[in-house]
Parts: sequence; structure tokens; C-alpha cells
Amino acid sequence: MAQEGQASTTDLEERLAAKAREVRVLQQVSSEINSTLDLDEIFDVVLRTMDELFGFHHSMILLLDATGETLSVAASRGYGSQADGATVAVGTGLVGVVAKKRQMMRLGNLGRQRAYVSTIRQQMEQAGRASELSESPALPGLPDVEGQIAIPLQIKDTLIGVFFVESVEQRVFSERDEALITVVANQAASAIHNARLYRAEAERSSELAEAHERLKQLNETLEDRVRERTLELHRANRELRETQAQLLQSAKMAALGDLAAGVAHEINSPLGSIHSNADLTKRVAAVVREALTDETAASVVSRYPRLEQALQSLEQATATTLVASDRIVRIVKSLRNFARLDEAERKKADLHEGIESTLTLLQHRLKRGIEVIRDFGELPQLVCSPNRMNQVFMNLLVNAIQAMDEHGTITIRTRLDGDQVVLQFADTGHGIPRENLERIFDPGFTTRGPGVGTGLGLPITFRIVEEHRGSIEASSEVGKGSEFTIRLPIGE
Amino acid sequence: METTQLPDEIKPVMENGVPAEVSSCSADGIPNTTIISQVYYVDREHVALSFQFFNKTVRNVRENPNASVLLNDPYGYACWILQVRYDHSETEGPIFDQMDMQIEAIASATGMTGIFKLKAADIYRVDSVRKVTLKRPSTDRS
Amino acid sequence: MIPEVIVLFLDRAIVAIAGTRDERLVPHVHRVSGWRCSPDRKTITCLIPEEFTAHLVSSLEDNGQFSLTVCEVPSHETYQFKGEYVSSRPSNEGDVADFEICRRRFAERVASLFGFPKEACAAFVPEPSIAVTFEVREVFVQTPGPAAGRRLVPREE
Repeated sequence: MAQEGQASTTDLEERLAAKAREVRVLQQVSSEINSTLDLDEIFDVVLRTMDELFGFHHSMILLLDATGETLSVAASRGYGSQADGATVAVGTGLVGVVAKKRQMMRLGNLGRQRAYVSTIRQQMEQAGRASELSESPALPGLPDVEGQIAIPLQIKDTLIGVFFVESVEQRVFSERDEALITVVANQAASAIHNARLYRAEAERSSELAEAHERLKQLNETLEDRVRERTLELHRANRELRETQAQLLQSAKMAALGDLAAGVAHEINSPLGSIHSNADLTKRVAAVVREALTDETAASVVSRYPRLEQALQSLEQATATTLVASDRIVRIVKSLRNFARLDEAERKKADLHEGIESTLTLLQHRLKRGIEVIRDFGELPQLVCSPNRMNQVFMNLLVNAIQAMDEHGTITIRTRLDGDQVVLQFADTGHGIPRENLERIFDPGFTTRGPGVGTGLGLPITFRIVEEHRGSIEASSEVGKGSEFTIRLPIGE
Repeated sequence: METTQLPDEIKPVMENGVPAEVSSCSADGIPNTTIISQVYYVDREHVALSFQFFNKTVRNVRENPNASVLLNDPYGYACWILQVRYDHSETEGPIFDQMDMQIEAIASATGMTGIFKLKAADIYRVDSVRKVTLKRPSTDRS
Repeated sequence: MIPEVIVLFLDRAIVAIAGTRDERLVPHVHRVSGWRCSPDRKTITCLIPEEFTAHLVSSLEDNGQFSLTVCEVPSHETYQFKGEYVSSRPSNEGDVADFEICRRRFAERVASLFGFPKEACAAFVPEPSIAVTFEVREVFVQTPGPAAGRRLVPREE
């Protein structure tokens, strides 16, 4: 009796000791699991605990995917890399069924079950019913497993995964084991949930920080960009004004051309009559003169003493008429040449002809006190837009005339320099101050006060020279004069 | 010793995975003996058998509810004889769900989905429980 | 008559269980430790341990109905024999010899399959106290699978 009592006390003590060990282990596990927010560390603690403290060497943690239809192995122990990335559908196998029903399950004697099932499968195959059999799920496991336990990992009513343990030993999972594993699983579920929340939060914070950094950089560069943009806008505005001026100039030139063409056309006929009549009159006077030198005409001449005088007047008037009409012809030709309406497109043109035409048109302004010196070299015909080049010559010559207040010398030099044609227009005007020299090609820049000119002549000249792939430079000395040098490439 | 309620110590026997045997009898008095995988513990007064296929046992107990169940406990060198009586069948509820889960788990793990399908959980009332203790071998020190 | 192939099966089966029913149609289950088929293949004698004889003889004497289910492991090949009680007597030396054969077969098979010590396995098959002979009327296939429940003897139409 005493011995029995002693045995039962020892048994009780042993059970208490075992219980105390269990509690300590659970406390330790709880502490370790809850000390980290790193998912991999949590997995490691749980699986290591199963292995080292409870002796369950093969276990897995599977997590439910976003669709809620598949479980994937998030961590495993005892399977090597076999379990990495393995998946199982919810509802399939022990793990899938536990996930579907949200209830834990323990299976035992699986060896005998396998043999039992194998018999049935064989019988079915022999009976020709093999098509009714399905494939076993792909989740890797122990081939000679005897016991399995699967516990759903849940937070409130949400399933986050399944915790799975298996063993080749028979009778390995008792009710007590089930209780212990459940406690660990519940702790794991909580920790996994928290770790995921933390990770989601960290990712969001990181995204916010990045967005904040980008915004900061954006702000810093904003000022620069605004400044850049303003400069761009100024440039665009200037280009727009240049283009507008060009268009205006072109329109003016076109109108002028129209006018010139119209005038030339109208003048041509009467001019033709005048010239041919004057020529005729000249020839008639010559005939009369010759007739009057004959001895037989001497008695007529003596009877008309004023005949000689009359003939002389006729000859003079005829000569003047011819000169005047020649001049008109030249002016009309220059007008037509200058307008060159039909010659907007590029073609080979004689630049000297263009310069001369322009000078002819400016004759009325040049004759009063301005001398024009021509120093023309041998120039080949240049592929250009003659109409546009004439604008250039007009702009430069008008500027030169204005700079000299109608008194001074304009020197025009042309020469060939390698593969370039060089045209220089120099005047002896009042010159351009250095500080203005940089800006003379800027649209709108003028020294002549508001309302006097548009300030667009030189910018347009610059643009036209650029169009011809050439360059224009200005040099000047106040009080002495200015010189504009244009270089144009010969080749197209 | 015979009791009318299932003792706690019988629970692990019912889960030890060793096949059990069931004897039933038709209404016309012909006994039938069959070997089954598992007898499920419901409560102290009830056990459940899985009804998966229409077989003689299922037919017999619906004619004659009496049945005799032999549970084997090789680890405990014992057997348990239960005299039971078929009470009713359940196709839903916690007993059915637990049995269904287990069968579904095994079925899908072994490619027997659709073949192993729990039709119902047959609930039996326990009339008597008798433990038969066997003689341990002389080499056994437990 | 029991088919020859079934007789051969009986020589390799390892688990057997018998069923009777009493006058109230309450069935009873009895563990069978050993068995042998008669040379004329008409009867089977079952060797039943004392622990499992409750309601055995009284039931048999009441109605004579007897069923025997025999199983081979690990194949789960199983057959059920149903028939009428012929006789019973305490087991003799010959019975014990048959029992020893069956027990050894059980112990070796279970030990090799499940890793238990042979002695422990053997202890689970107690020595018989009674030999019950019955004449086989029907033989059924009880192997789990699509054919389970099919009658072999007499052959089903």
C-alpha cells in the first residue's frame, strides 16, 4: 500500500516536472517569437522549437496566398530544399483540408493507411477503374510517414496559413502534443501577422520617404527649371519676333515687288515708245544735218538763219531724251531685278548685279553727298535666293546712308576667299559704340528712338545670311565708321 | 468488468490506428463480421462509425440496430468489447465534420478523392463496455 | 465447398474474427487465435481464447449461425465465411499446434511490418480454450475495393 502510494507520488512528481518543463519551454518560445518582427526569424524560432525541444524533426509553415486558394511553403525544416516553393491547393491533402475547414487535425498510422489504400488502388486498377483514381498532392513529405498534425494559423477569423508537423514514428502525436503544438502555432500566427503588418508598414514608410525625397529634389530644381523655362520663353519670344519681322519684311518685299513689277510693266510700253522715238529723232536730225552740209542746201540755210540753231536744239533735246529714257530703262530694270518675285527659290545669281540693282534704287539718296566706291573682285555665280540677298544689300546700304547723315563714303568690296565669297560694306558714318555692337543683330534694338525704324533690318539681314549658311560680322569705331563683312560659302 | 460508459482510457485505443472489428446481424438472424479502420469517440455514451459504402453492416444495423465492436490495444495488451446500438446518422455537425475532414485528408493525400467519401456518420449508443486484459509476455518489463 | 485458392489463402492469413448472435439478435464478436480447414474443404475449425468466449456457445446452441472473417496483412485480402455450427469442444494438443502456427505467422508478419518485438506480437494472440467447427455455406470477398461484398460461394449470377 505504502509502495503504491510512493509510486503514485513519484508518478505525480514526474508529471508535474514534465508539465513545468513544458511551461518553461512555451515561455521561452513565446519570448523568442515575440522578440522579433522579422518573418524569417519567426519561422526559424517555431521550426527550431519543434525540432530541438519537442523532437519533431520535420515541419513546415505554409502561408495562404492572396487568392485564398493556394498555400505555399514559407519555411520548412528537415526537408532540405525539397519543400522550397512547394504549394498545395486549399482542400487537398491534410494541409489543404485543415485550411479549408479551419480546424486542426491529427492523423496516425499512415503506413497502414497507405497499405490499405494501395490494396484498393490495385483492386480498382485490376477492375479497370484506374481512371477514377486521382493523383496524390505534390506537397513534399516523408515517404514513410506515420503521423501528421496540421494546425490552422488564424488571426480572429482570418486564415493566414497552416502549421504542419510529421513523423515516421508511430504513436508520436498525443493529445498533449497536439495541445503544445497548438499553443506554439497560435503564438506563431500572431507573430506572423504582426511581422507582416510591420513589413507592410515599413514598405509604405519607405515609399513615403522616397516620395518625400523626390518632392524635395523637385522643389530644389524647380527654381532652376523656372529660370530655364523663362530663358527658353525669352528665346522663343525673340525667335517669334524675328520670324514675324521676317514675314513682315517678306510681305513688304512681296508688296514692293508687286508694285515694282506693276510699275515696270506700265512704264515699259510708253518707255519703249519714248526711247524708240528719241532714237528716230536722233537719226532724222543726223539726216537733216547731213543734208544741210550739201552745197545745194546752202541757199536754204541762208534764207533760214535760225535752222542751224533749231537743228542743234533738236539734237541736244534728242540726246537728253535718250539719256533720260536709258536711265528710266535702267531704273525699271533695277526695280524688276530687285523685286525678283519669280526668283524666291534658290538659283545661281550674280551678286554684283544684285548690289548694282540696289544701288540704282537708292540713287536718289546717294547722289547728294555720298560717294560709292566699288572694289569688286572676280566672283562666281552663287547659289542663293537673289531676292533675299537683295534685301541684305538694301538693309546694309540704307543703314550706311543713315549713319553718314547723307554725307560720306560707302565702300563695297567683294572677293573670293578660298571657298567663300566675302562681301564688305563699309561706311564713314558716326560708328556704333562698343556696348551697342553686341546687340545690333537683336530684334528691336535701335538707337534711333521710338517710331523711327523697326530695328529689324540687321536681325533680318543676320537671318538671311544664316539661311545661306554664311556669317556676318560688324566692326565699328565711333566717329570713324562701321564695316559689315558677310561670308558666304560657294558650295551648296 | 463491464460498464455502460466509455472510460477515458479507451480514447487513445480508438485512435491507435489498429483496425477494429464489428459484428452485426440481419433481421433474419445471420451474423456478419467485418474489419474497419476506425471507431470514432463521440462522448461517453456514443461512438460513431463512418458510412462510406453501402455494405452489409450498414444494411444490418438499419434492420437490427444491435452491433458488437472489438477494439484492439496491442500496446496495452488489451481488447475492448463494446455492445452498441445504432441510433441515427448524421450528415452534418461536428462529428460528421471531424470524420469528414479526416477521410477527406487521407483521400486527397492518397489519390482517392471521390472514392473515399463520407456519406454519413452513423452514431451508436453504447450499451456496455468490457475490457479484456491479455497476458503480457514474460519479456515485457512495462 | 471452399475453393482451393481460398484454402491456400487461409494458410497465409494472419487475423481472424468470428461473429455469432444470441436469441435477441444481439451480435457478439470473438477473437480467433487459430484456424484450419477440413480436408474435404467443407468445414473450418476456429480456435477461440477463453477471454472471447462470452455468449459463444449459448448463441451457437440457440441458432447455430456463425460468421468468420479472415484477413491477410499487408495486402488486406479478406474473406468472410458464413455457415452453421457443427460442434465445439475444448481445444486439444492438435488445436494448440495449429494455433502456434497461426500465432507465429501473425507475430512474424506484424513484427516485420511494424517493428514490434515478436514476443509482444505473439502475446496479442492468446492461447485458445475452445475449438468451434462450422460448415461453410457461403464465402464472400471482403477485400477493400470495388469487389467487397461479392459472394464467391455459391458463385453469384
